[in-house]
Amino acid sequence: MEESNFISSYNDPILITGSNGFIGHKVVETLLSYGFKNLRCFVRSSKNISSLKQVIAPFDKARVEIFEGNLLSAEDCKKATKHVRVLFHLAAGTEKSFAGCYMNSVVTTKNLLESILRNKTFKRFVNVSSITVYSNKNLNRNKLLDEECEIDSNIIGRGEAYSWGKIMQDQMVIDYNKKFNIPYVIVRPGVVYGPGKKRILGLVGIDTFGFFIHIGGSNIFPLTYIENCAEAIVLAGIKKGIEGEVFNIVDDELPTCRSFLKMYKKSVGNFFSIYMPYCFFYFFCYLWEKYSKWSNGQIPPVFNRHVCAIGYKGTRYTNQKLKNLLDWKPKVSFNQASKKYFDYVKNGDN
Amino acid sequence: MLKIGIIGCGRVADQHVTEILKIRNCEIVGVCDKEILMAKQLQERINVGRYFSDVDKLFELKPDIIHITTPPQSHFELGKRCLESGSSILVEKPFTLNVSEAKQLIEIAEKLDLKVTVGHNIQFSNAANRLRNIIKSGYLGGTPVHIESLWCHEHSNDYINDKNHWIRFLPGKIVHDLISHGVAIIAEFMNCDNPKVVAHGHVSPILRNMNEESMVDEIRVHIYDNDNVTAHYIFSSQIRPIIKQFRIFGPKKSLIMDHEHQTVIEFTSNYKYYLNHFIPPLIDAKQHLGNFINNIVKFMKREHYYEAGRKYLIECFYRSVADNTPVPIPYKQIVLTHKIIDDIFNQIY
Repeated sequence: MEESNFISSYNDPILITGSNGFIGHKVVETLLSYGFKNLRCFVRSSKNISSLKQVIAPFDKARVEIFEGNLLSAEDCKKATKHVRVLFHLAAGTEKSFAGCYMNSVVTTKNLLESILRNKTFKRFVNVSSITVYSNKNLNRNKLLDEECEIDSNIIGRGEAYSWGKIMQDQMVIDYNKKFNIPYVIVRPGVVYGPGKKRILGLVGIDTFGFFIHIGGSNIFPLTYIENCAEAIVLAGIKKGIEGEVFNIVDDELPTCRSFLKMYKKSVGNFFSIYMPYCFFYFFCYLWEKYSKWSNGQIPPVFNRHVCAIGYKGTRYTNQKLKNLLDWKPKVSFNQASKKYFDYVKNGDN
Repeated sequence: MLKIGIIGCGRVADQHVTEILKIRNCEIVGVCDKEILMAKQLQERINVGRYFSDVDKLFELKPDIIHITTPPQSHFELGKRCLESGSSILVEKPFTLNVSEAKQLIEIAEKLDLKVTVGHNIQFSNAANRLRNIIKSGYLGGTPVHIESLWCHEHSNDYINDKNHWIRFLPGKIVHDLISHGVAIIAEFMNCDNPKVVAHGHVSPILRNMNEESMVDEIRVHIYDNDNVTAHYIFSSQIRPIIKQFRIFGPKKSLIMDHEHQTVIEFTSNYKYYLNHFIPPLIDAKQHLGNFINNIVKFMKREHYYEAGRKYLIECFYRSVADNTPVPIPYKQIVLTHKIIDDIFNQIY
């Protein structure tokens, strides 16, 4: 890779938050393999960093600092962002509560943005968001969901704290750009899969009631393999001329939910599942939603028509913008990726 | 209409606000958090009142009651300021860091003719209320002879992964935030002022494997007073399944309440010879069926939900403030709970 195509040189300091996470450690590995030599890996605790250490180990000539701290501490953020050129922000709140997600996604982002205000050499804030922030309310079935689609304005009604936190986080980044001209790029990965993450079948169906109800059917499953996703994130952080852009990240050769479930059962092991057509599930969600409202929240509105439409209405996805602006293409094909993933789910790390 | 304020807009505040919004004749006038973004997000989501990062601004709205849902280290100072500004307070558990602070807050409230309570919501769950009513009817046949409270817990990554988490700086560290539910229910039925407390604590293999040897998470306590009432408190992070049980033994009859299953079961009397092997299991089965029906009926009536105890407690406290009637948790019980907790942590740390 030509350094001249990048906004920072190989020796510039780069900060990665959430660097010991599922995606984070792969972003670190990709940066190192691109030749970047000065990384600061922000971790909440130095206890669970074995996967991070593993990816760093082969690059003994690079200077990789593991920075233990809390993004809720303005002081820690200030220290961590010192002299940093590019910041990959992957840490996020994944709790069930709205307040918890807000605190760990938005307040932390604000602390980071505040800490880089005086950093004159700062080049780019890469905000890792999620494809779940979009609304498909005005999209007909099987229409294309791309970066131009509207952001969900009724996300609280959807009851998904994580997605709400991500929308608020994106907005915070955009606001700081408007007010203080902090350059940014937003990336929105689909369902990221690979060794290290077992549960990914949420868009295929639900297992809340003790057995698997398959709802996805012929919908496209918006997967992105961990290595492909990490590379897209890295490119979004270093490529010139893409300030303020948003990129959705999905792989090529996306399977349908039905075919993925079939492959999963064949490769990992069979389990009982029944298929529920979208219209039936939508009606079930309607009843659940009504009961939840009538009972004053006796059962939480986890199943509601809004969630049903977002998850299972059926949408097509594109990675054209990634390919056009970042020259990205998935290095790992679906066949290779799914094999690695299924092997992991079946056999674990061994 | 009671005016309500909230200080501390984290996840516990969400739980309080959800229940407050179900209660009639009250309105949230303001929410406050030292991180203004947290106050703003809560105000925007519930779409009532105003938001602040300065408690004095909240005080200017003259709330009748302020909920304090901040980490426990700030409970005493904030509680004092709320009371001095003229608001009664509902403080999330643990009420304060020690019994001395608890006594001081209560004294201030009494002097100012205001009220205080603590967020021991589990003590007011449907099952706990049922247990209380049965005991009040004289079911035990006299003063309790012995009480047992068993509280199991599963560690959370929140404080395990964060070496600066506020929970680590409490006098009782990890256990301090959780112990009061199980101890408070002992304090409710012990009815004494100064019981003796003998506590033993150790670090579970779970924590040891995480290199967390400085935090005790297995606690066994023996409590006794001069009237011969004894109690055992067990806190465990190892026992599975997660059990949260309360047993109370009287001179004639005894009861067992399961917090997790929301059941109250009477200990069945003995029968002669082999009948003792056949009749009591049937009676126990009938009791479990009765609990099942009771829970189902309450569920159908929209009265059986996870936070029912919190709503009940908040509603009772609001009524006591509005009508100047006794508070749902007597002050003596709050002090006794904290006295026992202090004694436990003084012995194990």
